[in-house]
Amino acid sequence: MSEQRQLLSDSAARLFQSNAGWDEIEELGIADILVPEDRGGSGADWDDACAVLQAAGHAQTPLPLAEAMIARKIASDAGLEMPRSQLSIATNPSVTLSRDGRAWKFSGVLSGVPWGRDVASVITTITFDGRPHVVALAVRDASLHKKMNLADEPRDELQFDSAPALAAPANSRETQHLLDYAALARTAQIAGALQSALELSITYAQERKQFGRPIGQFQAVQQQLALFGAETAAATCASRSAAIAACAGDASFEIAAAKLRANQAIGVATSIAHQVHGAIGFTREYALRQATQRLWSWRSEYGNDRYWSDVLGRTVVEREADRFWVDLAAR
Amino acid sequence: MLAAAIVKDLGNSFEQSMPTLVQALVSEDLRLEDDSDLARTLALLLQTSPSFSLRGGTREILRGIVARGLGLR
Repeated sequence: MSEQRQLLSDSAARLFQSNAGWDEIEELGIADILVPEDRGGSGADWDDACAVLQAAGHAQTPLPLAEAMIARKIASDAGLEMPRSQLSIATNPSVTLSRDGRAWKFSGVLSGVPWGRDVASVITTITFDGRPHVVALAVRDASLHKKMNLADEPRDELQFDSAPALAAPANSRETQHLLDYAALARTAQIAGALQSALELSITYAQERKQFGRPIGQFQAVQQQLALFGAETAAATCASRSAAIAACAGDASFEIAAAKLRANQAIGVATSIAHQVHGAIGFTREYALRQATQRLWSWRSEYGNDRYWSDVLGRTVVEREADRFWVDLAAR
Repeated sequence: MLAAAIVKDLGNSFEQSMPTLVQALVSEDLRLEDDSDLARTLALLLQTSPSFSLRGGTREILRGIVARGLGLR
């Protein structure tokens, strides 16, 4: 990690650990991290953004930070002027966009919108006239159905009926493949949350005594924690590789692999974390639950195992068997 | 005692694998925050299934009993 990225990640981590609010996050320029400097952003890359998101995932920061970073980036790509407020994204619009002169109208449902109730606008992408368009919608124009994921993070449903919209075409990779980049952001948060759960489990194994010694001295427990460590390393490494690929260009393969790997790690890691902790891991007051409930939720969000396995499988099959190793080694 | 330990360990592993497998396999349309029967059942089991191998003898204790039964202790 470069020295500058380490500094950014460290100051972000300190901010998240102090339970900073949105204003302090804005002050550090984190929400604008992916926006180019000539458009008022920090001009950082996906590797920087993911370092920050990993710190947010570690601290379980209850804010739509990943969503705001992506929303600001694609709004800026399309030249849409957005106020400096919290923004969210929707990756699965089942909607219609229509145009009457210069005015855009939007109808349909956006589901699973992170913090839909708290943000002023939701940004999504739609293909219109054969070109990807970035669309900004005001939440006040929607009928809002409040829902929560397992970690009580808002995942709201917004229904629009011929609502006014801002829309403009854009050709950036993030605009064309919004779900990919949302999944990339989640893998960084997952890596952070896995590390946090691992640290809690190691500390607990060293403190909790049974049969006259700390449970961490039993080989059965050590073997489990070693497996937990390996899964966390694999998920973190896959996420970082995808972030580095996203800095260079097409990262669709790396992102699919990273989200699938992260999802797989969650299954192993959360069961070991709870097995090591025993009953205390299930109490509301103890921090482990904050991490594992997010991990279980994030495993379904922005593509579950089946979705990303399909993507990877199709990519490999389309290129045919002889190309597989060559393609992989070229990445 | 040995038979009971084996049954509980096998049963726990089986029932704990179910919610994770279902979550991995369901279609993209299923959201954990939805109020369909499947979404609610899955959400509940994801959160509670780790406790199945804790209550009434942890996995480590059960496997210790099985190991003793195999003559290893």
